[in-house]
Amino acid sequence: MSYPNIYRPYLMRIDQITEEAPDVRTLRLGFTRDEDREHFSFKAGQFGEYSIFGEGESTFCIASSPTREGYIECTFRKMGRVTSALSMREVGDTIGFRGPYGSIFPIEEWYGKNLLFIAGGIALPPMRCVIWNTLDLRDRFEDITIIYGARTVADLVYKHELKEWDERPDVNLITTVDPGGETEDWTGKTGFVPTVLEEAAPSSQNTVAIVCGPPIMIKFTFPVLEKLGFGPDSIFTTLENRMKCGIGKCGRCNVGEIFVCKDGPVFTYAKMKELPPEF
Amino acid sequence: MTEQLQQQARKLLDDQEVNLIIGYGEGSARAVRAVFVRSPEETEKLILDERCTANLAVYLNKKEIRALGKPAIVARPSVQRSIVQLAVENQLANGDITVIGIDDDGTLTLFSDLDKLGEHVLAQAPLRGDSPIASSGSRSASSEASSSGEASSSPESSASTESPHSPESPHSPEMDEERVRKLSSLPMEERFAFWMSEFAECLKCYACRAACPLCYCERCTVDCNQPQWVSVPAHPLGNLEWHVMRAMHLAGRCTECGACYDACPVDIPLHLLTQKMHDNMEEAFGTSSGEKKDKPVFPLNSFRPDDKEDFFR
Amino acid sequence: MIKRAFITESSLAGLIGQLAESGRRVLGPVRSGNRVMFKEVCSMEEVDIDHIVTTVSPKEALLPRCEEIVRWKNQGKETLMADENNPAVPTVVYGLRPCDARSVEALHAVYTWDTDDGFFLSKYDTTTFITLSCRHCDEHCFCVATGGGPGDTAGSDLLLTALEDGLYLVEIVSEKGQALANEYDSFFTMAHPGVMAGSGAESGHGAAANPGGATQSGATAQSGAEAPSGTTAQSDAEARHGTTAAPSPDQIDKESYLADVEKHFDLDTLRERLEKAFDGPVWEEQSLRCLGCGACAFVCPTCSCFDIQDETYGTTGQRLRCWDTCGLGQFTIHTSGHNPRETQAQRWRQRIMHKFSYGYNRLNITGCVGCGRCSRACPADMNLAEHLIDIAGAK
Repeated sequence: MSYPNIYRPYLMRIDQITEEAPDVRTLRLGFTRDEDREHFSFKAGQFGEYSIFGEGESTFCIASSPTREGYIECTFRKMGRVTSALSMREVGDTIGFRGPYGSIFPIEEWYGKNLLFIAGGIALPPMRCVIWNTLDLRDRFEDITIIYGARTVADLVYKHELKEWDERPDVNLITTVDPGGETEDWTGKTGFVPTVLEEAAPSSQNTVAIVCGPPIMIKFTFPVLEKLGFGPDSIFTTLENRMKCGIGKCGRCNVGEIFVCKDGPVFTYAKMKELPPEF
Repeated sequence: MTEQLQQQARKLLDDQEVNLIIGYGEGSARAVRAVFVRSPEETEKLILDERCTANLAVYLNKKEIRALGKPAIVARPSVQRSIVQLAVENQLANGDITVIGIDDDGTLTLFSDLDKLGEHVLAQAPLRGDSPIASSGSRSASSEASSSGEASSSPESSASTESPHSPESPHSPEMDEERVRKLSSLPMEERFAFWMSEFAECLKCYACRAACPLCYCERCTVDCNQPQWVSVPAHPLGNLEWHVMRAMHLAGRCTECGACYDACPVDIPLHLLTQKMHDNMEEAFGTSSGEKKDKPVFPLNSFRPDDKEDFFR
Repeated sequence: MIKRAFITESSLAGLIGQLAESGRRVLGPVRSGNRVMFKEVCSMEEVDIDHIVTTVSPKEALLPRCEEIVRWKNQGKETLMADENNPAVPTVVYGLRPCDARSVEALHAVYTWDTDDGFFLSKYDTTTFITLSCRHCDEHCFCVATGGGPGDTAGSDLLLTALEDGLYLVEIVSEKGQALANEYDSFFTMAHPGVMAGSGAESGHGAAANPGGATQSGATAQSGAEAPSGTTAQSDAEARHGTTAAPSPDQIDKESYLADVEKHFDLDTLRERLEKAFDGPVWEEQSLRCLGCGACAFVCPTCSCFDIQDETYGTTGQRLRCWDTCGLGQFTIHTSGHNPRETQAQRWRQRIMHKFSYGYNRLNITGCVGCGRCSRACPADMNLAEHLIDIAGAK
């Protein structure tokens, strides 16, 4: 009996490259084969294994919205072997992609609710997928608030989109940079995300919070949200652990009994509280 | 002997001179294992007999053990040599540890001064159990150092006990030297074939690295991937790369305790490689390992403008 | 009920030889100095019988330490996918132990849950396990505590138990085992050769030389009295020896030929205690002497974690799957330097929890078969059974 090769990636062509911040870029990827494009679908929150042949695979979320069909985007910071190689690639080059993998943000369950997005630094990409997804279905949600912070003004990613969101009357965008990270013409806030969140004090009534950020930001943000009245079931986040296979075989992303690649990456705070602290 | 060791260990803990004793205790299936004694009562766990040959010095590098505070370590001659080499390489300084030296004749000597330990090793237990006055040509440099060391040697406390049994080891120094001699006499093709067939069994479990007191790098070259110096998979090329790299990194530093071989789950005699490298280093540079000198020489790690080779000038 | 037959030592050697000649890859334990490894063999003469378990488990038959999972070719700037060079060669693994065979079930569970892994499954489908039950054990064996035993049939296709005088009891455990027994039926016999002695037929060979008298397809599966050839053989024997017939395969008391492995701990108690042990001090205490290598995992029959690595040779590239282990500090480290399992205590806990708690709760498997290889291989004498007793309490 022959089995499909679950490790064979799609071949993707780099259609567009956007410089987001120092060492951070976004690649827009198109399928090289029409049948792959037609077959392919994903939902907000899912991730993939992006590969440079000869260097290896690297795990990132899909940063574009499933409502924008025909391509996917990923945003990454040049850090290791694969991301360094990825950042050398040019428009027209071919890379590999396996996916989509993992759990999703239950967007349909959020219809009729207020949405509060909280992100820090390079963790905006997983949230950008959900933000565009909900903005493309704008009339199904009540208020949409986005709180986004980075270390410095230069480190803010998706600067054009931040501007677009800022100008939209149906989005309340609050941007902030860490103290000392501001420039002279900076018009946003200065301060850490949890503090800015506490000041903004958005209502928890009929609201879900979606939080993405470095572990330290997450750690200090959850208590603030709880103080604001958010229940652990209405706080969502997405976890990152080191992965290789993405399909629950290679054994390295587990946190206790759960596999981040299969049961995650999207978790509620309620679920996270049940997990051992191995992420 | 065990009793004397236990008394000594108890005293060190009672006097709060150290926080733990790294020693040998009963293990499973007649084996002995490392034990980490943290209270005077626990010193009863310590044993000392012919089975206690494992190189405990490896635990001096282990983060989790370091976190327990200042250790005293039960050190048979091979362990003493490793400690001296670690001191030579600035991995241990005076005051970091207390050494409970146990010589082959059963003498127990405490060292807190690693220079003194160095002198003791030269006098009592130089590499391969040779007598302090070396017999072969290239070792004369070190034997000179040893005789001068002997003169000033004054162990801080010393006591003689009954002689222990000769260490029971699956690989005696004599056997190993014989194997190296045999291998060296083979034509290069045969030697290569021998090693390739041995390396073919390597699982890349890195037990050899983990068991070696001198493999203390925070990040081993095999764990670096920019660039990927060594192939990760355990295929013939990757295994060859690893073993060559390992032997080169230990060239002239290995103190020939054989822990790497003892640790290897598939019985690859990889200690013979480092042993041969040691011979080569002695021959080429007149250096030996596990010996404390005033000005240690690291031929493969140092650059001198007047180097006789011009290829890297 | 599991079907039974006999095979003599010489027939078994004949069978192994014929299997190798048939083009199958036959893997058997081969000794070289102190190590006994599963190697491709052509005849029984190469096979070592003087060991408790092999040094490294036979899992390599299904999960090679390094295998190609993606292949590509570079043409200028373009990358073209190519077919992987990773065929599943029809294989017979001979001489593994019941613990090893049982481990196949654990591997199967991991590689088939949620998503089927074709590289594993294609090998699994084409591999037949001829297991030798254990007449001897050592102080590291604890198969009984993990649910197995020295004569356990789980995971085997055929299980052989050495009786006496070069005779083996054959248990046909699976369809694959039945298929092999059918294909090579002349090597098996339903009649106790002790009874046939003097007929000049060393059962298997005799039968092989006389295909007409050999069992028909499926005959070995049935009890001696019902099997046509068995009936022939037995009636021959009865004619020669009167009615005091030697035992039929079904009459053999297998247990009396097996090693006596004690039950070291109670698995249910262990699981219960592990549920509450995550934050306990036991992990740090037990793992102090652990040196953090991968010896335990790489000799283990059930450890199945892997790494994926790319390598290129000229214009061809391959993506390789290779063994990896949670015992190594690099296993979970993020590119940022953050490591969710930073200390050896955390890694040791992961190893034990994965094998005895997570895997059971998740996939209903125990990720340990009690073969004891890890304890034998450990350079620091981390004795797994001892640590488990430490947690579960002695039985």
